[in-house]
Amino acid sequence: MSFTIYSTISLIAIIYCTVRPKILNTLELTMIFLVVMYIDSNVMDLVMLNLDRIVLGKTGSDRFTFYLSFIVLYPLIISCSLDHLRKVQAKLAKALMVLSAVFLIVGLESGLKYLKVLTYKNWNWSFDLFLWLCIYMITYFLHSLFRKLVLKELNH
Amino acid sequence: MLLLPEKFDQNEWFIIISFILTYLLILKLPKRFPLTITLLILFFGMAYVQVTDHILAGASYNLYDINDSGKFEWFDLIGWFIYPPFGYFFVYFLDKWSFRGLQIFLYILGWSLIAMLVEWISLKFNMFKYYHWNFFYSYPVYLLTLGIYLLFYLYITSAFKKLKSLRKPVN
Repeated sequence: MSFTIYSTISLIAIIYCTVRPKILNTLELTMIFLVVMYIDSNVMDLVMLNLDRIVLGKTGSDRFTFYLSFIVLYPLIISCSLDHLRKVQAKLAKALMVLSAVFLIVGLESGLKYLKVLTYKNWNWSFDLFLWLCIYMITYFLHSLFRKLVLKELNH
Repeated sequence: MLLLPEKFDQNEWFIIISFILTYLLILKLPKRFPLTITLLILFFGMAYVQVTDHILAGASYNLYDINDSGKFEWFDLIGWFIYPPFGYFFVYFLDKWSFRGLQIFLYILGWSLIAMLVEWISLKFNMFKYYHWNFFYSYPVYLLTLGIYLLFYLYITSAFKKLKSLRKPVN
């Protein structure tokens, strides 16, 4: 069940993100995707192996669903959100956009917990919220630096 | 949080020396790519290796351990920085020698053997402990990895060229 739900959500997200008009170029979106994937993977290693706060289900479906969400879905949500962020000027709208992306990821994580793909031990959604807010901010900062470099090299 | 090594010995020294040598070599080699492309190749290498190790050596399959224990150590994190230069050298010499067609096939076969040699050396320095993994399983994994690397490199270089041509003034 979890596999069906999350693969459908991922496919919808992939199709939407592919066809929607974008402000950021391919190189920037690739960079954001890779950074989110790298940080998330490191944090999950830390939380699962060292802190033992999250336990991954044993079935193939559980594992596939989990990897699909952190390799495809979450990086896609943050890349789309950072792209949207460039379209709006008002600070309040920007803050709402950041929060909605983070809450969407936290909601999807809670969905994984509800579907028993993940079991939380001394971990709850507020930790997820803080974690994803940090990942978002780090990615935003690194992307800003990378964007300067890309535009400089493309205009050179 | 991140653990220190149980014993600071050969695997830690192997990582430190490999780290210094590979990045020195990147700096010493004449520049071939724009910095954007170089950074993306390195980012890709880091993310790819991290995710692969997370799946194969992490909580779910636990086929092997990296360094002293099955936990996440500082030297696991540092160790992931030594893989990206390998991918960088792979595309660097591919671009330098302008291989085409069957030459690319042989180049990938050759680099997979080099990767096996590096893995064998890292095994001698106790960087990996295999549980349900075999040294020879790594060869098809390297073939796949280098194929993906090649596709990624072709994708980002063509994207860069396309974007650059869009920004050129029309005469």
